[in-house]
Amino acid sequence: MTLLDYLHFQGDLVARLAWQHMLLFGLSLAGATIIGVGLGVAVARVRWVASVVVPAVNLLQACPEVVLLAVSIPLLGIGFEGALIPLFVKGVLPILRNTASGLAGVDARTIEAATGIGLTPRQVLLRIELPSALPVIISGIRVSAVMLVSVLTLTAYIGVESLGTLIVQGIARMDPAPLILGSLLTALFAVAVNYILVGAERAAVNRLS
Amino acid sequence: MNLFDYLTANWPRILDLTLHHIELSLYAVALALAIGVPLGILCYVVRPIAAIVLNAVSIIYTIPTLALFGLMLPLIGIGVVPAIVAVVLYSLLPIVQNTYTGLMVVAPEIREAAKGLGMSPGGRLWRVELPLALPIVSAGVRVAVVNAVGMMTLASLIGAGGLGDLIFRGISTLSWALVLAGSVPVLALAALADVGLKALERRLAAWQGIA
Repeated sequence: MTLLDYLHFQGDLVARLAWQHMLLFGLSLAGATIIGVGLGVAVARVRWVASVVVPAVNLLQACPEVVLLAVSIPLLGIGFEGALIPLFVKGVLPILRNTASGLAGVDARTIEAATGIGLTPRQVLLRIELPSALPVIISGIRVSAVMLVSVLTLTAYIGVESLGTLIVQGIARMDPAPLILGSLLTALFAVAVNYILVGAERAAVNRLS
Repeated sequence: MNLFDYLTANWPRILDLTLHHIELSLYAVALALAIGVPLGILCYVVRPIAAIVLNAVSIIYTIPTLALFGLMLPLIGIGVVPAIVAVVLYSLLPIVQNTYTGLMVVAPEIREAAKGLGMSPGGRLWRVELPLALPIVSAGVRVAVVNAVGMMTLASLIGAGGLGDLIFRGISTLSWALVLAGSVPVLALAALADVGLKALERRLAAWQGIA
């Protein structure tokens, strides 16, 4: 069956899986950003924590996705829950790390000046520190987004429907049509997400200067 | 079956798969080095192509691992070769990027001094710039090796074997012992490679301090 035939007969399936993939991606990235920035701020506030957390994070990030997935299943089961550990490690941790190091890199004199003109610590965080750290944070979000597309593709193995489902079916049935289609679509998706966030990073840098 | 029983009954097989896993990863990184370092040097020498090459390798790096393996199947088929090709492609970014960056950050005074001594461009590259770039290249190799060990786990899906065999069989039969028997050696390999190559980087940097 050629690619076009496959699209003709299975177009609805492909569209549904693509939609599901993007939906899960959007939800995971939103969740990862909220948790990652929150934890990153907490880590940056308590300096000694950063010296423990950042190396630990780097170590965990080096874990292959499959291994994280494999460890997650016995603990959390099959389905989307089973993907939570790899999603956390590959999604939340890059944002956490970059938020913490971005905040640590904000010029101390700027913060002092802001405090000097009477801003409360909360205002300093929201108006001075986070905007200054934004390019670094967005760069973390980009790393996380690319990893999340990849992790979601793999979750097809534990029954989460995503574009990965096409790849898994293609490999299992030695059917090139879904295999190529699934691989190309996930690849395009990842590349597009990356470029969009590279653009956002540049915009954030430009706004600073 | 618990983990201990599985290990005592199957340790020769686990050892075999581990060695196979190491072999595949090393082949892939060696090939990536053979392609990536010259490509990085080319980017440095022919500056206009740098943006194109670096963009191309970073696009490849963005592609989800499963999709990259998936694309190899119809193109090259199953087995060891497509797995190695996929990992080589993926390893290009850290190696090309770091070779290029390493050469770019060589101090201009040093480059001028070498010129002043009358060294040819080739001699400067080979005897001055590349040796100075070595620690950064080595950092790229470290990233590539750690990635390769992880990626090779997925290679089992396209029939290349390796420790992924144990992990995927464990996932499909819901056997915790199999999953662990595969995952622990993968993690140990990745951690060992990371620590070992970091030590190498420090050695290289220290050696430059003397030389």
